[in-house]
Amino acid sequence: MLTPTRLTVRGFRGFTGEQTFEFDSPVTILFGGNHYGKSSTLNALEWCLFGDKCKGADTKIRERVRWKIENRHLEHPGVMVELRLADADGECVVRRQYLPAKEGAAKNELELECPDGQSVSGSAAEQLLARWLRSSFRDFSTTVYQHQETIRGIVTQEPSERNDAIDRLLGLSDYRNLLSGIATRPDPNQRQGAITTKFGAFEGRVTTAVTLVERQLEESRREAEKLGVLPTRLTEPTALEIASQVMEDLQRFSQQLNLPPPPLGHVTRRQDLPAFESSVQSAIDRLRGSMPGQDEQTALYQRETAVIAKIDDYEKLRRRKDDFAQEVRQLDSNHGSQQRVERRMAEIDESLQELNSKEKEVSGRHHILVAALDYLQESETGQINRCPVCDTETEGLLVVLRNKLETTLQGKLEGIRKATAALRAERIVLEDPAKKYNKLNEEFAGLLDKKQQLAKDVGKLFKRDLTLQDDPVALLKGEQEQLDRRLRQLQDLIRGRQERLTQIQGELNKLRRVREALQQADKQKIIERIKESEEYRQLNEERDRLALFVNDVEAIKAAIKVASHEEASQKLDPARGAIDKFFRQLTGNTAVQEIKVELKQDARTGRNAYDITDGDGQNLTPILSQGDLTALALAMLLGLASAAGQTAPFGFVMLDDPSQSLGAEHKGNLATVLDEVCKTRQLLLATMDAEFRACLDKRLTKAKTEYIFEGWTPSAGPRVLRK
Amino acid sequence: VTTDLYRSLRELHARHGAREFGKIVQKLLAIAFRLGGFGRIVERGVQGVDVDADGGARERYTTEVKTTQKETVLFARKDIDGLAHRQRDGYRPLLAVLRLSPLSDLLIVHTESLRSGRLHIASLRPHRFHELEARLQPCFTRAVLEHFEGALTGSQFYLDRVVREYGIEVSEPAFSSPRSRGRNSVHPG
Repeated sequence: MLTPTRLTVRGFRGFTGEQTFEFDSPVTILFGGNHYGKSSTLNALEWCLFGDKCKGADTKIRERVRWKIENRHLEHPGVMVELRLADADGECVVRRQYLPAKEGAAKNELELECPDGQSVSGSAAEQLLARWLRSSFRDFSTTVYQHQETIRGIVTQEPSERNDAIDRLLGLSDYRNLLSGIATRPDPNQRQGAITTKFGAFEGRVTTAVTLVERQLEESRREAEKLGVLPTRLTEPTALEIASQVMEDLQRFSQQLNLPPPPLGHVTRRQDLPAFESSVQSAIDRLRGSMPGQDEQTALYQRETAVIAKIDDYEKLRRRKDDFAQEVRQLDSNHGSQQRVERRMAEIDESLQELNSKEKEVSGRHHILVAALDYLQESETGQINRCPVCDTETEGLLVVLRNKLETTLQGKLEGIRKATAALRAERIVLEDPAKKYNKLNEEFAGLLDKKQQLAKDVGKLFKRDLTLQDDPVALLKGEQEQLDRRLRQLQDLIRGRQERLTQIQGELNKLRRVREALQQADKQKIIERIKESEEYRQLNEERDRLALFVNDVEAIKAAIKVASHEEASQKLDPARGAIDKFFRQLTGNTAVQEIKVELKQDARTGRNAYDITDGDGQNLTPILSQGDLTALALAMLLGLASAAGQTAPFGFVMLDDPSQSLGAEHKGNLATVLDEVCKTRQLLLATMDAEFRACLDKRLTKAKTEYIFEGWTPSAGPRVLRK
Repeated sequence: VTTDLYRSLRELHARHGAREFGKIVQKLLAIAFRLGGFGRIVERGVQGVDVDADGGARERYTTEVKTTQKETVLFARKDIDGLAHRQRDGYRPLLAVLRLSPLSDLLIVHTESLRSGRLHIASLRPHRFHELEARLQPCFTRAVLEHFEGALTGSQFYLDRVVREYGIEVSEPAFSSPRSRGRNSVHPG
């Protein structure tokens, strides 16, 4: 157990010059007014041991937020606190220095002087000191140096906070810290769950794949069965046997046709089957395309096509001639004949000519007579009444003659014109059949040309010129019959061969089905392939490792909870009497006959839970006053401290103003309790309470050292006298 | 499991349903123990732990069999009590879990440190009895494939005859009464 023997402070908070405190008595009392440096002295000891861990928000101590280490009033602030600690191995020195940053980083350095004389500094010193102390700052601040915050934690009505505070008071923070630390890490259970989920999804896909392949295999089996291969024969030997048979059949077939044998080799391995099938298929295709008689068949088909085309041409010609004859008969029935139409048209043309001449003649005569009459009328001034031809005297002779002329010649002209119009109308009627006759004549000439051309073409087909004695259509039809006969012969021959090839093709298809079924069966071994893979083996190992890790973490957590529970029990059991005694001494509360701190396990978290009950087991938490709870916190601290064995890391207790808010009687009670504590623990106590100091003087039976803090100035710091 | 084994188990499950499937697997596991070289085997169709297998002084196992399609199995208090009862007779308690899925194997785990309740199958992995799994897995596969057709058509009644032919003791015939048949049914998970 570590106990302080000397503390030297310089530049720490309110301190300026170097100040030394000797802790050479079981009790050290720091007495003085407010702000004279008492608390800073206790804080200096604390800072020396824990450095920056005792400041900041993480301490959960309100005043430690933005807490300044250095004295703000010094021109060159530099902090040094040296603490001498003694235990069974001897005395060691802990020296911590701090230089605030002016330029660059602040300097915070720790040095240790070990009992064997060795010096360590820096991070090695921090690690060594942590091993010596075996406590976190939080533990120290609750079990050695009781802060108001700890008291507040116990006083609180919030069970989890109270349980936490009591755990700390019992020095079980390590367990809590371990559990909290585990809780801050990613939860391996979740990780395992996520992997299981992903694995499940993968397994789902495998299930689907297995089902799919099974269906495909079933389909292949059905197809193979349709081709006559029973499911029991869907084996590799069957496939190789079929392949061998196919090869023999093809070779025999080629031999029968005097064709070179297809380049196929014996298949002895399943993996060669696809290439073999491809070669067989090519050979079958080639044989189908180059079968003997097939060229002749093709030529005969071509000739037959040409012959049929010519027969067809003749048939078309015949039909056209029939149509032509029909049209001529129709015209003849309407118009007599082409000669008659043409003759009549010639007659009309002749008559029209005559009428034209006659019209010209009458018209000429009319002009002459009109000109003569005009002349006579112009040459004679008076009227001519005597005819110069017949010398007949007629009144208004010229008028009479002009009327006569008009009557006679005009009538003639009109008759001529009427006759001309009638003839022309008749001619127009005759022009259409005349044109049709001409067109038919032309067409007839074309048909004759076509007939001649066809005869030439047919001659070419038969390789000779046709004579008038030849009937080309009969010749063509005879040829067609011959071709047809030969083609039927060839077709029968080729069909037989093709059928044989089709049989071989059927065997090849069977071979394909068997091979596909075998492939599907191979594919079906998905599970085996996955399980045999290195990745799956590794995954399985990882899953095993993770499961083991999860198991271990759960076991560790359970073990921590059990250990925490057991240690709490071990600590509480011997301290129960002292806690009860101190509580009753401190409070003098007669209503509480007995106070018990019962240890339980939280049903949800498995962590320690504490019930504060009376002797009958009734929960006291709701009925205890704040003062009682404060007293309980003090009683627990002091009870545990006095009951703790020699294995506790610290052999001292620090109390800062413990009589705060206590009445005169309670102060005396506290002094009595502290006298009890002094029997097992060194006591460092700061107080400004003269009444309490008097109580301590009177009731503490152990030797005391007293430091009187008489005043404080910014430049000189606290003025301290040892009494 | 292998593909063939998975397909066979799946068909048995589809044909007979979860409850009957559990009983079938229990009997097939008993046969697997026999094929694995165990001497005295007791298969309980109705009451108590499902299978006891005695392969000599250091190989006496009592096995509760669970089948499931889920990620968890229910390891009930009565299962622990039953195993503990057999443990007192010198049998080492085991839990055999068959999850019906393509990538799951027959898990055989020690139950000494198992708690009762619904257990995640992944959490059983640290407790696996690898040696026995390796020994029984091929025997179980053989038992399933050999008796698949019979079990498919004749269910546990066919297997009852088979287990007797193998010289396995059947503590109570599964067909004793419809009521008793359902009492120790394997939970579907």
